[in-house]
Amino acid sequence: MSLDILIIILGVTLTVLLIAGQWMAFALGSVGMLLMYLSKGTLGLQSLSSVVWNTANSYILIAVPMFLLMGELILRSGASNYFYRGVVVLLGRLPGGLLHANIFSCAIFAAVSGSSVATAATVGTVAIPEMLKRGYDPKPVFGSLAAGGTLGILIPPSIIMVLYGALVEESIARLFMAGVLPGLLMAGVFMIYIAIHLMINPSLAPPRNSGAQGGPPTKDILHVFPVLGLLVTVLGGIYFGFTTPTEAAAIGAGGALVLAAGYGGLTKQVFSESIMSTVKTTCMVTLIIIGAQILSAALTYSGVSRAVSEWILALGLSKWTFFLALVVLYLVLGCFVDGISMIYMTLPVLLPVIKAFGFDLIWFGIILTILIELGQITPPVGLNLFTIHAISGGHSFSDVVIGSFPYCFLMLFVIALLCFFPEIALWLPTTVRG
Amino acid sequence: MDNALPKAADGPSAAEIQERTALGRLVNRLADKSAALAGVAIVLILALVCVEVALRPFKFSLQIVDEICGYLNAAAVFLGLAYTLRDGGFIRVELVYDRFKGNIKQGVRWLIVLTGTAYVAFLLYYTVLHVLYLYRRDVRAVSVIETPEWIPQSVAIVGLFVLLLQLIAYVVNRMRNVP
Repeated sequence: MSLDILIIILGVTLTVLLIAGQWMAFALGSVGMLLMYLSKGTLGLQSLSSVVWNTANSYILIAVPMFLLMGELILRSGASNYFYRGVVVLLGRLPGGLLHANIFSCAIFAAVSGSSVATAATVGTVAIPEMLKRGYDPKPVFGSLAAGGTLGILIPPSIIMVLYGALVEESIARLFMAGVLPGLLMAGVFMIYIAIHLMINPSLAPPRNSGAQGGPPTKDILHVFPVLGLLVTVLGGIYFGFTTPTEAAAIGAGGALVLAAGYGGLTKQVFSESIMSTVKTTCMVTLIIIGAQILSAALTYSGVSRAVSEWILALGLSKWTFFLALVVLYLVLGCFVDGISMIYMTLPVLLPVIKAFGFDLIWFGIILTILIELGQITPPVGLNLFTIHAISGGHSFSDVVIGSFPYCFLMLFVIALLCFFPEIALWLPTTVRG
Repeated sequence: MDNALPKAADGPSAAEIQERTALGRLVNRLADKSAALAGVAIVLILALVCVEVALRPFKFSLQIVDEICGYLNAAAVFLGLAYTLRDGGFIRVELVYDRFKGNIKQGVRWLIVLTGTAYVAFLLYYTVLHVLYLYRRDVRAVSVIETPEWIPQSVAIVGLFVLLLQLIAYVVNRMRNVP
């Protein structure tokens, strides 16, 4: 069958299944299977079983359930609420105090839990009623929570980076380290934005001294340390080469177990719910990867991958025009498709081109991660927007969107900074030991 | 990553609706049992990796942790599939799906479940062929314990089989409990 017809069949079936609402994992895999059959017959299909097995039986991907478990335990045991109270004491005095507390606790917390949605929901449930009661305008509150949650995918440990690293065969440890400074930079940009926004329009937050009474006592600041310490331990182990990312993930989960027990939140129910939720998410993520790997194998064997890469290269785009096109592609895709599927759907085709243009794959991983974050808060379907709306206590969806929208531009601004100063991402990995 | 918080239940759960047919009851049992084993696999990974790291300062290694944990991870993935599907753990593009109503929604569900069933059936078929091949040729892992490859890979067959049963249960149930 000619390549043109194959590409049309691929495009049509994938679009129909995705729009109809086929589960991502099934859509990718079944289209891959169809493509494989059409181009290589049953012989092609026989090669799929090893693709399936090798994806599930991967040492690197063991990090996924372990990081998930770490987050689940901290979320469900209530350790997260103590952490937020500590951050409120720590940052509550800044102009726009609690908004900064939102950014900071979402950033750290999402880094630990690996889920920006769960983070936005957890911090939001505590923060929203509290802040509205104190007289904050709802829009910036929603914005800071939705945007703050996305920081977690960039600040390591990051499951998206594990998956990206496994796909492009780059060191996960180096990817993690490359995410640290851009993550902190982005958090800084968010906080500067909040400060400026409030200076221009002080009515959005209550007067500074009014927040002092009724807040948590100063000694609560100590609650910042256990969660932060866990994060430092996990990352330190990787940075100094004591542990592989997979081992660090298991230690993190073990540490979360201790932490949950220490806060008295480790009931039998919390433990079993955390485990089963980890099972569910691991299955979901891994089956998506299996489906995407089948599709990717089919794209390679059928020659579609090469044809598309050659077509893009033949367009004669300059390096940065191509990059701009990529950013637009991911922005559009990000409105509909989740981050993992996005990476695994596009990279098998685009990776050769990205390499041909001479982009650094670690640097590109960071950019891709930021673009995925952006997808979480771009309307119409940013997941974080829905989450915040669901717990906003009856505020309109547009309030959430308006509050979050400025952060989209701030993220694009950080991407631009990374283009001009790639060292922001690439310096720290060069200092990694081990 | 996105289902960390339980959704508020309104009406009977997917598992409860499924409980009404004989096949549904069977699938519920199998999905729950195998998911529990998947949970055990996760706990074992946690324990094994932590022990391995803890022994490292003493220049001691269990030698087999990487290999066994790989098998356990695969076991967790395959054994959890049916449970994850039933409880709505798989993600999709919801934008359009959530707006379908009545007959169109029902038609879309048939499309989703039937293509899904075909996909899983083929996966299962080729996995069975592969495991039979591994068994006949006595293929061993390149490791200290030289595990016969068909043993861990059989777990994939079990998991995919229960997943297939879950999809068939949807058909028997006329799509009433498709998430």
